[in-house]
Amino acid sequence: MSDHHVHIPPPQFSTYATVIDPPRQVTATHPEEMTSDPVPPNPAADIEEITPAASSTPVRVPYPTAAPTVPPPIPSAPEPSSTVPKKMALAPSSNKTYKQKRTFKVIIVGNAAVGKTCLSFRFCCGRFPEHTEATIGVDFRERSCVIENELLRVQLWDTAGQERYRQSIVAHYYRNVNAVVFVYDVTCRESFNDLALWIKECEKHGLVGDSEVPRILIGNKCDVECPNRVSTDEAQMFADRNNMALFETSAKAASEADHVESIFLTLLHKLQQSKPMHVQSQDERQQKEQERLILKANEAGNVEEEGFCC
Amino acid sequence: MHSSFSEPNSPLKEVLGEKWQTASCSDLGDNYVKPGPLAKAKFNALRNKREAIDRFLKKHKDEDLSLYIDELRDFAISSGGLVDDEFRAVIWPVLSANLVQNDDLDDVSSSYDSDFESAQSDFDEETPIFEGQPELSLEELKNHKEWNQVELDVHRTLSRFPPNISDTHRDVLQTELIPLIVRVLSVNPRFNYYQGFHDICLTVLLVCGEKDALPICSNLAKNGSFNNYLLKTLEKSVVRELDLLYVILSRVEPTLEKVMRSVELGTMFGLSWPLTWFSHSLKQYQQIVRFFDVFLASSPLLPIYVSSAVVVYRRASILSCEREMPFLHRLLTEMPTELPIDAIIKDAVYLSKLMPPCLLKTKYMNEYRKIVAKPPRTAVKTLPRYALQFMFVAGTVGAAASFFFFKQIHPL
Repeated sequence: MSDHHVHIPPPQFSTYATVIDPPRQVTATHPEEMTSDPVPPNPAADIEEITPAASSTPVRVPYPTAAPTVPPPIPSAPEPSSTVPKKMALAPSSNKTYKQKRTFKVIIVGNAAVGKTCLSFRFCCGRFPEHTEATIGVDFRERSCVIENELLRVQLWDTAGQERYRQSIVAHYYRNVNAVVFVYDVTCRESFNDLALWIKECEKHGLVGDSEVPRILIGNKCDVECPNRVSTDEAQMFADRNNMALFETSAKAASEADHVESIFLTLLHKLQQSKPMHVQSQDERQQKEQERLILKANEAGNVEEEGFCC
Repeated sequence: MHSSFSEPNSPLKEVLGEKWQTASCSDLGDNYVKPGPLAKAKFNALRNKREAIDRFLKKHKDEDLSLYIDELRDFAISSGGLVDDEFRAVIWPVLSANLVQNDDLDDVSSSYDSDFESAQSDFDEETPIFEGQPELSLEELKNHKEWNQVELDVHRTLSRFPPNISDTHRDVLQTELIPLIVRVLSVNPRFNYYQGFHDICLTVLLVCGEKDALPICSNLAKNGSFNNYLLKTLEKSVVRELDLLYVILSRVEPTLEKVMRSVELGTMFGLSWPLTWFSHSLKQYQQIVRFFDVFLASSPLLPIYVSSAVVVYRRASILSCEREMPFLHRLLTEMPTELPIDAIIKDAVYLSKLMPPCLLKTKYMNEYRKIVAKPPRTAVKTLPRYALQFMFVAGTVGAAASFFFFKQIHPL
């Protein structure tokens, strides 16, 4: 069992800058936010007390296949968590050119109120959102990272969790995704049990376990004390059965911030190594550009035509 | 004392003590005071309107206000809306009891759908259903299948509460809101709660208080546009309505429509707009209640016209945005803090006159389908332009040639 309990060190990389597009400016640092945050979604959670306990019994499962692809830490890189204000790891710098640009589409699914919005916000904006509301439809967030001199844009599609939105709305967004993130709440068994439904829904759209599209499973809110939480072993078994990597984390606890980061970056590394299949490559971009030009030409043609008719 | 256009000064402060629930937030917005003659003029217009509504309500104090539904609707739609929450608390119940119904003919979606319980059948029963029922106890409500989901959503609606409401008030409102929503849902066992319906009920609760909110919300759920959303799948209700947005745009802003279609934007950016009457995405309380004034007083499809007007209003930013679906999606989902609400409403009402729902759903929809199905226009269409010149030249040359030809054969 002990070899399951492995810490992933937060990946460290050479470029640091804040270019990510936060909807609001990232100002709050994590410790301040934890104390000033007046609206915890889990009122029972007392972070200061729980986090030491959580870190003393680490229940982190490394991503099995992607782990070797994480490059060795570059010595010059500063520790991401120590800097104030928080800098985003791997952010592109404006004065560099990159050999390649790729965009990855990642969809986040799971039951209502498991923390999908918070997780994606944590990853894209580097902090826990002040207060989130029920997501209606889909929200979109983006973050750019540079890995091996390649500019990667991650588009996170944060979806509505309520069952009513599952089929009619979220279904539109499975098309052309490069990765699927399933989220459940470790303190809510129902959200874990419903994962099967989400996987089924996902497979309906051709995203099966052994396909090229990586799928990961995140158990959120691991900082919350709860009598009958979903045990790691059980979740691990489920993840293995479905050919997924399991992570347990918390979008809220400041101590877990790097872990959320490393989960997504691990996923990103895996994507980066993948064949640029569905990914929009340079060629596709150019092709699209051409289509657009044709469209514009048509528009121009129409205008002239109308002018002439009169 | 401040003179702001969007946040008029409220006479409610006097009654704050006893009626705090309706006082919600009329005295928000010292931050938004805009000096200048225009703002002053607008404020004066608004003050006059408030006096007019006040006079009207005093005059008909002892009568049934439903008799004056046309006047009330006019107040609600015209510039400035119902101005104050105090008036809203009186007028919204009347408006909601006399919601504008769809013509049965023009409800395309209902003819598609076999399991649709038409608004007509509800309408026949004069007495609201919930009055006939014994009041459900809290225990019974808690057993409702949607209780948990409603509770989850209500507990995280913090940002929807106006900032001038204290934590205690907010807690009280939140504990009132959950049973309120579940009571509305129990009106019809076939109602399915959707995330976003809580935003509607919250707005009504903030303005009208717990007692009046129940009949208003029930009326909206039974007869308003939410009836469809609660009864049918979202795909068959709201998504179909939102498709009309493209039909409207193709007629008023073809360039915009083409851009949005070319990136396959879809309509999900506006999903919450009709579902929550914009209360989920608007950032200012006064804007939300202003929209509610109008929607309570107009046809169920008006939110779609307003959505179109909002998109048209944001034309410049859409055209200058990166032509990619995700960015356009995000641009439109994020509502700007400042919106010319009255102008947008005027545009929307104009659009709804220009393209009434019955035509929009049939004729215009079909025409739009043809536009979309048509392959990109190429040589065939551009031909006439040169063809005319060509014919002219060819004709002249031909005439000249034949003239010379015949001249040579039959020299005169």
